[in-house]
Amino acid sequence: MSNILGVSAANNKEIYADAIVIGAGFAGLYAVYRLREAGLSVLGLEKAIGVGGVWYWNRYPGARCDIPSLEYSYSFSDELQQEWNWKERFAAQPEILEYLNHVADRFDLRPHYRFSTTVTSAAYDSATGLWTLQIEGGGQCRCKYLIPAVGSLSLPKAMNFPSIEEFAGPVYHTSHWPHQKVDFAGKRVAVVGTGSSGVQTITTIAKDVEKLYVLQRTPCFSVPARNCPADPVIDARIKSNYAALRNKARSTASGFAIDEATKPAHAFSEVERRAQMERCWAEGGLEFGGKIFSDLVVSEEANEIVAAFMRDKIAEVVKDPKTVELLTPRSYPVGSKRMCVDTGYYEVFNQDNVELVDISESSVEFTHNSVIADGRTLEVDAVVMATGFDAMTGPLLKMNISADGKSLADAWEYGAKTMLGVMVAGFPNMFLITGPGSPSVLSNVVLSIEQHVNWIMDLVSFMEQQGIASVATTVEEQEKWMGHVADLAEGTLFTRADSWYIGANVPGKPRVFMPYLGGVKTFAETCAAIRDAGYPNFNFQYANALSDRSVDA
Amino acid sequence: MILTIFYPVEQMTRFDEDYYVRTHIPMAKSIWDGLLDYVEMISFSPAEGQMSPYRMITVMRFTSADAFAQAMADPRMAELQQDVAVFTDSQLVAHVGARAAASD
Repeated sequence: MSNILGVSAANNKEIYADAIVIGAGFAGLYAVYRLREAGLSVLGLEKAIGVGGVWYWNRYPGARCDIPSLEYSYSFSDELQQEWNWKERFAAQPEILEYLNHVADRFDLRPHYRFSTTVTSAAYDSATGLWTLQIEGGGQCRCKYLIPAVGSLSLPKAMNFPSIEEFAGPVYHTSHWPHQKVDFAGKRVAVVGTGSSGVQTITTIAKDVEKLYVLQRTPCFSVPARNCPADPVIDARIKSNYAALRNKARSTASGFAIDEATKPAHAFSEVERRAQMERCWAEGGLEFGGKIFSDLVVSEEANEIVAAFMRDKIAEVVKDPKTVELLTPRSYPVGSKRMCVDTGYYEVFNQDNVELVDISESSVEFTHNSVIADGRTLEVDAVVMATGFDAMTGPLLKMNISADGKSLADAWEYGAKTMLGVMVAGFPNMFLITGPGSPSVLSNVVLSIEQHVNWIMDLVSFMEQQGIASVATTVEEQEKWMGHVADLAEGTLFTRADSWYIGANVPGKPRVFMPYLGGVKTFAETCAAIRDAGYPNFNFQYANALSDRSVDA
Repeated sequence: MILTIFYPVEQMTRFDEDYYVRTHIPMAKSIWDGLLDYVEMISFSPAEGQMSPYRMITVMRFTSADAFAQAMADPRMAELQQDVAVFTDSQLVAHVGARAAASD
């Protein structure tokens, strides 16, 4: 069976496929599906033993999607979206993993994949027009098209706590959680970090642990999820015209099927403003930010109104005034760091067994049985690290990608540069999915993934039809695009926060605002216009002509 | 009767452990319902640093020689064999043995 599906393997040591997709998450699975349907031989490589990507690794207690599952799901197959029934408004990790396994089975994607397979390098050689990938433990693969579908939040940030080595008890990272249930009953646990993973973990384990220390550096803004069991009546109504929901999502900035705010905060009277905020708060979810006021992330005044509202919500719930003060974010605009979505997060701090520890000013040290923070020695049995990711660029740079001897790390020395978040100048035939410079993490990412893969497939089909061997974007096009991405960010409050959007969470990482802020609708229109114009200013090299030929509009 | 299945691997052999554990073995168990004492799957994952010429070794003990014969004669055996290509391109090796006389 070594030549199954058109992928040829000589002694199983070197494999050639037209396309190699790295990753078996939402992006990788869909890319494999589309490439195969287009008649290309395709090989998938995945480090984990199974499919799922981020939903394979992040098995921490309370791991759950922040986007309604009816929207955070594939739209490419109507049969699929009709037959799958979500159990809750926001699916928990096991259900999303089950869904992705179902997708892999339903579309027969598994046989394309080699699991437990880690790519250690990927090098393009313009003489052959091929990528060569080295695999950990030996073995290599070659391909024409390389699609690193490695995700934006998949490489945990290196732990910056040298003394953690001293700690004798178990240390868990939320993104590498054990497959077996971890029993915290009767245990004293320290959780480091209060971003999305931290908030979900804290809220879930607080009821099990004997004592929970929450180590917080920067407080988050968090919106109630208002999660609930799926309502069969609502689901049936949506499924009777699913395309309408999907189209609505695609017509927005965020990729959420919501009525996005059209009016700025000052267009409301004070009473109306209050009502608008209460209404959005009552509806809950991450979409809160998109629905409330049109100028939330551009006007300091509007932002402060919402921030004050959210701060009041914390004070309404949490009883201890000192804890309220520590939990209250004041150092950055609301929305400029990833908002959290919770189910009873603030309530947890009224429990006798939960204590908030401020680590904004002091270092964190570990001994064999305790954590030392804020001048106190706290004995603990286990530590949970919810310290985040080397976002967007980390997983790509870790793979040692190079082209004709020039590394991606060098190309991105002063920050990530791409064209549309899809292509990188100097790296032909490599297509990123939701890369830096695309709406990616500031959108409903499944919708963005489908849009990216669809666009890539249009380009690949064009190349195959035209007998084109390679495509690359130019430095000029890339500079223009990244200039546009930066201009969009410059006019907003996003640049006021030390966020992972800008690389600020990783010491030494270049500070470049990475997500595209023009919204998914405008982004998709821009991509489509480039395609429709015949890919102007792309460098195409034809298979039977060695000279470069540009296809002009 | 003990059926032991070895999945030898070279570099780049395809093996989908998740599918094997979640789907293939449950399928075998359902086809051979009532005929098996136990199934033990032993994984050697290079990603976990467990190096072995085998990616997986599965030990299936049948309740009796008759049960084993019945299992092998099941018409759904073809379905089970076809499913192998879904998760691996390893040229599996199966051996039938019995418990050593000295073991209790």
